[in-house]
Amino acid sequence: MRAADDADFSAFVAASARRLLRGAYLITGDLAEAEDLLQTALERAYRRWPSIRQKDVPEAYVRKIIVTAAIDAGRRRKFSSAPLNEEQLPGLPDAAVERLPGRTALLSCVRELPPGQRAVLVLRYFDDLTETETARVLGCSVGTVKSQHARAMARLRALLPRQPDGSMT
Amino acid sequence: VSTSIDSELRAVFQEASEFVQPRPGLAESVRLATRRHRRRMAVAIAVVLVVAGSSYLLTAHRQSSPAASHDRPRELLTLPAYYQVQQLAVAGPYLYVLAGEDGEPGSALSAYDRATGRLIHRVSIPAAPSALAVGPGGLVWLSFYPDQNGGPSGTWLLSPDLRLRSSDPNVAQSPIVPVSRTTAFAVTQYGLVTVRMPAPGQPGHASQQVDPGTSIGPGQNTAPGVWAGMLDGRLVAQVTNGYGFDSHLVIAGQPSHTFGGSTLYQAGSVTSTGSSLWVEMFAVRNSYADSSGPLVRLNGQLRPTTPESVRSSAVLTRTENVWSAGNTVWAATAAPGHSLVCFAAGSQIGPVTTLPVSGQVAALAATPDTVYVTTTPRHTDDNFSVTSYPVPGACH
Repeated sequence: MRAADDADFSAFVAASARRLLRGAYLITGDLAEAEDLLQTALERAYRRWPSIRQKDVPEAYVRKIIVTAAIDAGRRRKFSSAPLNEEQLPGLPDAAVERLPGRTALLSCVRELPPGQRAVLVLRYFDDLTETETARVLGCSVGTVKSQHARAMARLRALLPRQPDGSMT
Repeated sequence: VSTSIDSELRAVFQEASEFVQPRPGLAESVRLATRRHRRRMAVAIAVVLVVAGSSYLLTAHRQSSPAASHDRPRELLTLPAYYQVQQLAVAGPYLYVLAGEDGEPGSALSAYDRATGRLIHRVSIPAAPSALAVGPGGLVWLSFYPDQNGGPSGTWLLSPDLRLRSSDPNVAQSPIVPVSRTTAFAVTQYGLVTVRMPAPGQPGHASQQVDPGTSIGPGQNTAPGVWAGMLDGRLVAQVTNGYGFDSHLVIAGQPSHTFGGSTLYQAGSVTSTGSSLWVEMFAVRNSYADSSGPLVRLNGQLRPTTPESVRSSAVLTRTENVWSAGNTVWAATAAPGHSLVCFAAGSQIGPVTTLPVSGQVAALAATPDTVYVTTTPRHTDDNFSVTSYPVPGACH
């Protein structure tokens, strides 16, 4: 690989790694696993870097590998995953901690979802992708994204505890 | 409520991942790992070459093996590296594979000889596909619209071998239900639209016309685009509201005829066997992280008429996806050891039969005799492939 490509790859990692790692963590709920996924995805990207760089879509490429692998891994341990809790949220600022009871409940509910549905929510609400973009990342049709999203939101509505006034936490 | 959950999800995702930082020296660690990987690959390739050479020498004097038997599973084709199968379709002598390449814009539609697995022709799609359907005459309808990498919208009508096409630029449809060689219905929030295309290879423009009296329900907050098909000669569409909730089925032009959409059950995967629909339902009160649900049969009025043998099947209560070909219904399930099952759904409902498929079914297409299946590869680096299985006699 040429020195310019190498430098470009380093710049890409510096600019995108944190965002990609955060997304991977939100899907897997396990920081070590998210780090492994990011490392593996970046290795694949590095092997094809001149081509990927030319197409100008390296972040989309790496995100797709991460999400696919995270969903596969999640399916394999479908029945053994534990809900995310406060102890897995180190370093939150005080203001965020004060809001945690309601949001922890929401996060726990998100962790109850199947990995595919969880990925749809993370891509839509953390990465801010459109339905079409989400479909591209997941390698499925827009219709599948819509139905996965519908299922996820419906299940969240069912799982979220209700306040005495009927609203959700 | 949905808007509230939307904004809460955005906030909670930001907060919950705020502390996450990549390891220092990540780029360098990737480079080192890649060099190690290349060294391992070089050794592995050398070993394979030695083994292959030895095998060739041992078997060179034998006659070539007979053609693969068609009465057993057969890996028909393997896709190029980095291609992920999105949908399969089958018609006439062709197996169609719609696949996107990892990280590359657009997708590709390939026609393979379904007897030999030989690639006949491949067309690149300049944006994300939104609908693929094979209609009368074996003509292939394809719609696409821009993804994160941009690209155009459009609808193509292709010859069966994909070598000729006509196009309707700037308009994408989802879903498409072909009704003649060059005419199809598309579902919009305002009802059905009749799309007429020039024959493949012919110049000219497409025409589109909204069909009056084909409402699929209140226009506001109605979002079609999941599934549509024919039931007893009428078009049924699967629609949701604008937030993706309330997934239900509705007969076009008879918006009071609906099924699903309550908080207790929503419509998931759907297929039509002509006079019946088979629908995988999901209950929203279920607090388990399981994306499967029971399979129900609907009649021409969208009323449930599920046979007892289906209702009581422990395997079919965990249906994830459903397809059909002729009178055979196929279901991918989450039941352990039953990734793919089939049963006859004619005048008599046959026994549920399990196929020897391992892994999660990613895509399926079937004829009355053969089913073509792609499963999600176990490892990210593995290529997608398509395997053909003869349809078990009990499923005819």
